[in-house]
Amino acid sequence: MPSLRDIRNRITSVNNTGKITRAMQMISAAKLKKAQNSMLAARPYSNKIFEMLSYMASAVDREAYPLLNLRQRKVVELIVLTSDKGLCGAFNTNVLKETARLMKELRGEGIQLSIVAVGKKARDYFHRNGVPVRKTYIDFYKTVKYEDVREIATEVIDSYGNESIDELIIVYNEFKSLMLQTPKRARLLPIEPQSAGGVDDGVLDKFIFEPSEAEILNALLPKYVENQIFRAILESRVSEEAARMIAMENANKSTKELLEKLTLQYNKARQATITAELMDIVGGAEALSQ
Amino acid sequence: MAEKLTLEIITPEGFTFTETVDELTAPGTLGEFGVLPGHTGFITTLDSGPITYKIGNVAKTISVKDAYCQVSNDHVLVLADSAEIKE
Repeated sequence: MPSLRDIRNRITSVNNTGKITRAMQMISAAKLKKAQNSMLAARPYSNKIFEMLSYMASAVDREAYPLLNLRQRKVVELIVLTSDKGLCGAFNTNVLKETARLMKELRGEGIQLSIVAVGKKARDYFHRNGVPVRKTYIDFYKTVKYEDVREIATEVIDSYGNESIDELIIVYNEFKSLMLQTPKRARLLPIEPQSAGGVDDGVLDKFIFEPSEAEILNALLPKYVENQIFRAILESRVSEEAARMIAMENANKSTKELLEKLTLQYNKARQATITAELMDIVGGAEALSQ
Repeated sequence: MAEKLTLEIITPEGFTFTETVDELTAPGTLGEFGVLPGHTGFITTLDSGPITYKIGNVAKTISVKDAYCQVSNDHVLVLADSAEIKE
């Protein structure tokens, strides 16, 4: 049976942990709001650029544009998005599991892998497992800037351009709702323009291109990839905070339960000592009076 | 002239701007161009620089960076990396 002092120490320590998790939950909630806002803010641009691209790409000859051109998959690059910080439930585990699965599949097909790790957790994971990482990006999650993302995008597009990679897949946590984030893989390169049903072939004739169709498309395609990466990162960021918020909420709940149990135990122990003392006194008084 | 143009500027970091304007000029890569209502369908890249639009006789400027411009049916859509309203 633990002594009174032991229980008291335990209560204090649980209490302190509770304070931290409560604070973290509140911080996450605030950050989540912010991240969500920037995700929503990025949406109109994504939609429009996709619209513009689908317009054009559905009507052109895919062979002529390397970024649209399907070629044989020899080297596939994976961009893995995780967080820099832990304490966010299964957020990172999910993505890394999905990555491991994907890597196994690709290796099974005899495809070479090249990996770009975004976030400290991805870096550490690959390091632990002895997987060589081609490039690492960490510490830019606090404020996701378009410029930072462009750096990543330009780099991968370049390596796609000089054919050191043949396909680009990004693995990240998709934000479905506050309670649900699921790992998702999306192919970024080559670009698959969804020929939006309503676009007829005549649509290109309605536009004048300046300088030329090819030049505009060549500028627009990388921009689109950039934007896709930007979007995935923002989404991953929102998922991270949501996951952390839920994890902290659960932690709060368990702290509360634990505290209740410990307090009960403490009171019982205290009662027991008092009873024992009383018995002693009564016993002593009895002995004196005889 | 009753016809007007809708100018819409969007950036990835969430800046959106919509305004009904009478005319505008934009810094195309191949030289500055103007758009009036009834302009033909048109897609182009823009240099970094100011887009000037006029409502009535009042001219205002927005500077954009690395942009694309699509004109269709009196709707001018500008996708820019960043944009800033100038006073």
